Amino acid sequence: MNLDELKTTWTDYTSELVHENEVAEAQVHIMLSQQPESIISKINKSLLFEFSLLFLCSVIFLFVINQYPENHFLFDFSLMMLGVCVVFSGFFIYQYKAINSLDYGAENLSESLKKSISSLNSFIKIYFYSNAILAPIGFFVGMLFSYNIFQVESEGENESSTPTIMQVDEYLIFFILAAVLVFVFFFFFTKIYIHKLYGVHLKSLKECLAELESA
Amino acid sequence: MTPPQLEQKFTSVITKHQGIIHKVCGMYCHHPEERKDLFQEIISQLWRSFPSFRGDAMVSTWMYRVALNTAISSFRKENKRKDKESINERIFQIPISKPNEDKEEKLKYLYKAIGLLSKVEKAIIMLYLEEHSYEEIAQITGITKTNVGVKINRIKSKLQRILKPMYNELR
Repeated sequence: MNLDELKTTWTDYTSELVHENEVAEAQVHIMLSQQPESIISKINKSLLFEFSLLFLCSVIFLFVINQYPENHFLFDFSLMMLGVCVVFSGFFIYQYKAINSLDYGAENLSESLKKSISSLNSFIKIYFYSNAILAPIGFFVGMLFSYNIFQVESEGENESSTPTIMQVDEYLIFFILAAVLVFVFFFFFTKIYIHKLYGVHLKSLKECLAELESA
Repeated sequence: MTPPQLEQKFTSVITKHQGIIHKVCGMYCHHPEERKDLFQEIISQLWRSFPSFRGDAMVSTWMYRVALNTAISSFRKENKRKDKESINERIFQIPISKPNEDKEEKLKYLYKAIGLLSKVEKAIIMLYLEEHSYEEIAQITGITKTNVGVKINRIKSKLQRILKPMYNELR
């Protein structure tokens, strides 16, 4: 079999393939109403999940701000965390727009690969930081808040009922240690999880671009 | 143009030029289910890109761009399934109206040869087999005409190496 024969075989094969799989206009209409499972839809789902989580956290912080206006510690910390949530939400919205604005028809293959790689890279970074850093911070803040609320309420009822097993500083050290452990766990877990979800795909895109641009 | 009118125009363009999508799907996917999934993904990407398509480029160039970009950039778990299937298993999934032994053999070799090419090589050789000029291939892929020529020559040599023993087998 030589290249000319290959051309003939290709033509035969594709003409039969087209004939066998021909779709009517009605089928195209149906396809448009369905959402195919693609890398973009997968990323959109992840972004939606992260965004919902941040929204939920923001509601909790708003509740704390509203509920404990005179507790400076809780008020200031909640305000700060609310700011962090807003900043990360902004990143997610930006990411969502960037990923969904990719137009394969407007770009050639090389440009399109570059844009896909850059979008996926920045999405992975945001996704990694939001999970590996925000999760332990959230854990630490949650424990600190519950301790602070418990302490304030105990002091209100009876000063002697303040936790006695550990002193305040010991509690703080315990919270920090727990947060560090959560951080270590989330750091490696997120790294492996992201690599499994998107790392292979990103590597494949980079290889394609390198091959395309090599002389 | 109202959205229903736009959709109508789109579907008529797609049905008229659907061969391009089928060919790209045939090049990148061996399994009928995978072909179906990729076909739908390409349709979805074409629809997203349709409002920005103003006809400055040829319909076929626009469709090849979107289809090849989607096929290369999309992520499907095809490798696992592909590895499990032998070439002989795959050949039964190729639509053949009149079974012909020689034709089947050639198709088997075509598949084997295509399977050994990378995603980028598949895109370039497909455009070449579809009689596109070097300039059109350069436009679609975004590389220079000279680089297109170099790559086509390389792929040809690679295919010759793959197909030579098969040719001997056929004789």
